[in-house]
Amino acid sequence: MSVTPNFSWPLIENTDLVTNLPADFETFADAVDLDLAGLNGGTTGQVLTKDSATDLDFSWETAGGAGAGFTLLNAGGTALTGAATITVSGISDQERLIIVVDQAGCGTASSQISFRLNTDTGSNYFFAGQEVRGVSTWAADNVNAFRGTNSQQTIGFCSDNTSSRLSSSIFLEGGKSTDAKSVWFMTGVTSGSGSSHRTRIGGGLYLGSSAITSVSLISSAGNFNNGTVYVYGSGN
Amino acid sequence: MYQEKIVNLQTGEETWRNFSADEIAEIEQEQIKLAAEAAEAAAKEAARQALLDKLGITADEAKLLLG
Repeated sequence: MSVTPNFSWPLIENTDLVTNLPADFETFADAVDLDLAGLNGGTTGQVLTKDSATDLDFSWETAGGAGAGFTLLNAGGTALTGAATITVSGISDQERLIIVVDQAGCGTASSQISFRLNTDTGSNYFFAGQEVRGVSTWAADNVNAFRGTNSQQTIGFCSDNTSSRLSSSIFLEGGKSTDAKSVWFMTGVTSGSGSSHRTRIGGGLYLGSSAITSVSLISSAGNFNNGTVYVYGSGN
Repeated sequence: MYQEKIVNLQTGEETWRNFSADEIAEIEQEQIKLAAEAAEAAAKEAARQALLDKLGITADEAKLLLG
């Protein structure tokens, strides 16, 4: 039996008996009806979406709708204490991430806080932004730019008092991609009755070529002594 | 001892890894740098205060002079 080239629907042969035509046509129509059944349903404004890579596996979905929100991946957050590097691993199939650093404390005064993705220590963090230093004597370069490519990205510095607290939100897009990912962050730091703390706002690219599986926070000069990191993810 | 805490959000497992000698050296180098910066800042502040004392003026009065 011949079939159509794309959908393999059964064709009516020119040698078929005329008396068989109604049955042959019914067979053809049933095949078409079955394959295109998924076109039924839906409502105004919905779009046809592939549910898998399988041919004809589709459904009607609300345009730009469901699944765009974020869910907390590390229930209750991960405590930022007792270690100089704290890694949340096991991240899988997340296109976008928001990493919320809440009141990170540096056990060693003036420590700088950075993040690293996929424990990648290569020079794959290409960032630029603005930094403000909290000092008692004003100087023009207390507000300064930072830029460059590093093996991690620094988001701020604790003050010279270990009561200083750093909070930040880090946004990442392209987490499932094997291309570069866009990342930007906003940080605030409390003085903790000290000075020389530095806040940063910046953005750029993580140039790593693997999907995101882990996020690390790093305290440059000693263990974290306070705070929590929350990792939120969105699959699309 | 410096360590990395690793929390796997799939399994909930928490593991600890001791820093390598290179990582410990990096942290200690950072601490030495920070201590040197703090000492330098303290020395500058002491010299500034000594000069103010020598001149017999306050920091605000010095600002007025330089303003």
